[in-house]
Amino acid sequence: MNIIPWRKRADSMPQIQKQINGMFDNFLKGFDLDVFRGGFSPALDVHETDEAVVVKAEMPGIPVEDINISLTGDVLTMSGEKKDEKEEKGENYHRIERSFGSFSRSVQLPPYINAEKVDASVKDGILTISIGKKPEVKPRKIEVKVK
Amino acid sequence: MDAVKKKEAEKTEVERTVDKPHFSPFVEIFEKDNVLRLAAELPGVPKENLEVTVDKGILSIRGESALGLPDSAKQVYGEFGEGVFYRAFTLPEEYNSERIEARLDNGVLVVEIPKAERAKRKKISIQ
Repeated sequence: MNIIPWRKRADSMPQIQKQINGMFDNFLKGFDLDVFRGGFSPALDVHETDEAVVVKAEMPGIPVEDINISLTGDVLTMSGEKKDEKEEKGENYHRIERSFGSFSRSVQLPPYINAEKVDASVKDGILTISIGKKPEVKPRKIEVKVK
Repeated sequence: MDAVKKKEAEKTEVERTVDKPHFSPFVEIFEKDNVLRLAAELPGVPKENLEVTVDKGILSIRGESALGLPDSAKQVYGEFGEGVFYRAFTLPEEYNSERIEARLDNGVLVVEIPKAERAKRKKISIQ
């Protein structure tokens, strides 16, 4: 084992610090998640029935007029703003877990959807968007006779 | 001020004793104009599935979300908090548990507890 004489290098630590910081910056650059922004992002649920593809989103306390829904090609986008109605003054907070702010979430739908048949409704703070399917993909029952 | 604390037993580290999925709704508690207000986000929970009780100074909210899928449906993607939930908070003594009001509006439960008359701050005029 070699004995390496220790030499004080005044600039070595900041250099390492800079490299480590750089690693984190580069790593996080690829992400665009709400986790890093701390805003509101609605939870989504998607299910499919014989007739439609149904997308549900949790939108507690968001009035219908603050929700925008658009369908571009096969990408469904829900966006809007969850407004915090409280004023800051004269309130004494004990617990804050809810989050507020603008949100946008997009879902890629299967290619067999029928963009002409889209329905949306809000109930109990849940937005439900139902997108019809093109008739040819609906399951058909064909009787086959065995000779 | 830690007047309102989440009940320790409700921590997620404990083992499950219910066979249903459960979730913990987000809650906000604040005090304004002598009223203690609790707001809980309960999307997908209808009024009839929700129970708000006060017992021995503990306010609890419990219930179950109703997001049952139709039989023919196939779940493709899921992030929802589903199943049963329970949260409990101790109420400070100066609040009047006799006059609690609760309402459920568009997936948000709001519980309002007024401060007891005797606990209100009074300004005494000097003669």
